[in-house]
Amino acid sequence: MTLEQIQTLLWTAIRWPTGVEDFLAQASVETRRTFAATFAETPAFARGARVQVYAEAYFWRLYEVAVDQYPVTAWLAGGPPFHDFVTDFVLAHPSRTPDIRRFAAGLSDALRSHALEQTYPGIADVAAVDWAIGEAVDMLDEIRLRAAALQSVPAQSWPGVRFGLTRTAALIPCALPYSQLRRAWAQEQPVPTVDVLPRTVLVWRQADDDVYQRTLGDPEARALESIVRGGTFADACDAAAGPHANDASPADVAGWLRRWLGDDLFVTLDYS
Amino acid sequence: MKHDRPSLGHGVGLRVPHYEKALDGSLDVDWVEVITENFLGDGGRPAAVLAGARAQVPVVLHGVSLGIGSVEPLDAAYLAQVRALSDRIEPAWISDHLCWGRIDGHHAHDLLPLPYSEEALSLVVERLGQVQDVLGRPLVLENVSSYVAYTQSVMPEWEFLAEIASRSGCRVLLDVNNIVVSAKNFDFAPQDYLGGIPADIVWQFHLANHTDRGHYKFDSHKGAVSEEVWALYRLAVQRFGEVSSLVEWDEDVPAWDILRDEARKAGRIAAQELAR
Repeated sequence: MTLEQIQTLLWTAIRWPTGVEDFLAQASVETRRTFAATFAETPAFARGARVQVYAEAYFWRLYEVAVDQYPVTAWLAGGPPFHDFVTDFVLAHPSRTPDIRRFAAGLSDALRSHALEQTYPGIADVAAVDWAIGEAVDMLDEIRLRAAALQSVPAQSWPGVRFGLTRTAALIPCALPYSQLRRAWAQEQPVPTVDVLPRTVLVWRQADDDVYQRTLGDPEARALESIVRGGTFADACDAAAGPHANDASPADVAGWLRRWLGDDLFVTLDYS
Repeated sequence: MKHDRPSLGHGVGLRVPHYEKALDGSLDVDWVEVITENFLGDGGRPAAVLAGARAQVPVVLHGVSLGIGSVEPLDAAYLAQVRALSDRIEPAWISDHLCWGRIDGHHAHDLLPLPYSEEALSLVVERLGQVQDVLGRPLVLENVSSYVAYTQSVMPEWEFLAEIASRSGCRVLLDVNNIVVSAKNFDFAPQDYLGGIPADIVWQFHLANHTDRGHYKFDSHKGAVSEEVWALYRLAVQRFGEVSSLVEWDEDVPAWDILRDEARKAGRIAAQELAR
């Protein structure tokens, strides 16, 4: 046995979906013989049971990290269903990152085609928000724009003002009221009954390094999306007003702008 | 015995519940060790925590994903990240584990044991050369707890570890708890392990607890350091002299005072043994 063959055998046994004993039961005679010839054992501790220690640790460790990274998703799905889902995910998507916290980056996408999405429509969106919150934690620090910077903008330039968003901010479509669910999760309450509706959740990290999220109303979401796409203040006002031009006024957008600045959402200002 | 190894004193593994101690300047231990992979991001609170810790005490980067014994090529991007982090915070040293954990581009996120064979020895030594070239310093390599042994092994673990250090110039992080765990699981005398490691290559001790599962011990890092580990630590200090020690407590992490007192206990025991 070469070192490569030994490592392949151990890795295969550890990752067997139903455990090492079942791996051996389903293995060929040749594989069972190789297994016995590779791993030592003692009367009190059989070789299969020894390898099983690693198998259990492998799945359990990744499940615990997934719960940490997707806390609201895990709570919404419930313990056993989420455990089963993560096990399926780990089998289909073994980690490719040295940072274990990032192994489940694709979990939201995997949920979209999973039975859990049929049971809890919108749970994949919730996972996307959970993930964005974790992602924002250690992104590059940036100097944030302060409200005082706006004082330099001439009145006639305001329609053309553009703002650059901090890279820690993300606007995420979410069919469930994430903020409400997160509060219920934090307070260890049962999962409430909620409507499935088109919503947008804003995730961002403030200058003090705390990460926040809130569910935006539709006009505010449209205004901020316009800014994210590179639109001007005037574009944001048009987007907020909506197709019938009466959902929100420029004064509403100015109010949101004050809040966005207070939340450290912007890093650049351009009115040239 | 006089060695050129630095002495950091007695520290603890800095974990999330105690990050605030790094931020508010109240780390009252000699030094801390952090998990390298948790600090590979570009900024935010983790970076602030690390900078805060580094401003107060020496910091050691302790990696878990190098996979020095894996057959596939080293992850150059990961190594570059570790080097960049090292340049930024100037750790006292950088450590990782004598194990493998990466295969076909996948990470097991576990410290999988190696056979103690000539093939594995050559592979680890060659890769350590590459790692140490990138990092620009010797790596400090830790013995792992294990549950599996291979029929291909031709030497005991301590001989394997000592030979690797001899050939590569790496240093050794001797995890006393891991010796206790593996001694039970493979029926050897822990003292034999200590006796097989040359004193001048030992850079650090790890102290932790384990879980006794009857027919074997499991490396859980849960609870206070066990009496069995403290007893072996006394012997280790007698054999190796003054060595920086570090208490690891990863499951049900206790209040800071409890954790800090474990480090102070390590210091008291070391002082007693060194005064003999």
